[in-house]
Amino acid sequence: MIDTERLSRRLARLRAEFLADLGRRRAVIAAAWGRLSQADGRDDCLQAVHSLAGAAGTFGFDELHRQARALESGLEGLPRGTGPDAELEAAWDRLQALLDRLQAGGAGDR
Amino acid sequence: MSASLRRIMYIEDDPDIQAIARLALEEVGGFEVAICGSGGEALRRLRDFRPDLILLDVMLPGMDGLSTLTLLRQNMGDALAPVVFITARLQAPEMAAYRRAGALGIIAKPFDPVTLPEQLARIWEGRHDRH
Repeated sequence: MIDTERLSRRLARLRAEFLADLGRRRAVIAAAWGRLSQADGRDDCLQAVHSLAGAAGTFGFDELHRQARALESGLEGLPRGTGPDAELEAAWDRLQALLDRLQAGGAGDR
Repeated sequence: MSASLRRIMYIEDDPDIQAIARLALEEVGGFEVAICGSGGEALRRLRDFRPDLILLDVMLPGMDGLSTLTLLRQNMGDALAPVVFITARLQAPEMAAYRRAGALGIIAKPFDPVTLPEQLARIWEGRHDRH
């Protein structure tokens, strides 16, 4: 028999840990963003954004999931050896604005 | 192949997803769980842990899920437990590639931690019907 109260508490704690770790995830993406025109920079950025999207979705941060997924999709379409275009920059700006709100503890999602 | 599903190995690199998957599989599903951050780690732990089922992320850094499956199969041969891919990449060509690679099933990400064990149990129950 599942102890649903205990499960809810543990889920809430993991969700809080995910929120507390957003700054680190963001720094990894930002560092790779500066190297987007290099193959490893693009791959690192794609991996970090993909992880953010997956974890956000699993923890129920639906808007963060959507925005990270949109950025991931833009990164996948980025030709190798090129930097971000205006559309990709705008997607990253939108994601950062949402991260700002979430990291400030505001109602940025749901 | 084991008759009942008890031991699950999950290969996933993201620590947050590892944590929620452990909670889902152990607390909700009551399974015995080994979480590995890479295919290499899985390879090192497979013989000791002897999973009934392997849950495999597709977009792993370095060596992706499909290459990881190839590596595990090369090393384990027929002794390798059935593999279920867990992924957000669900376009038709990608799904076809997972099937061709011999996946027992595919679970969509993001997964619901409360229903994940049930999804796995359903795939496990249907394992004899897929050929």
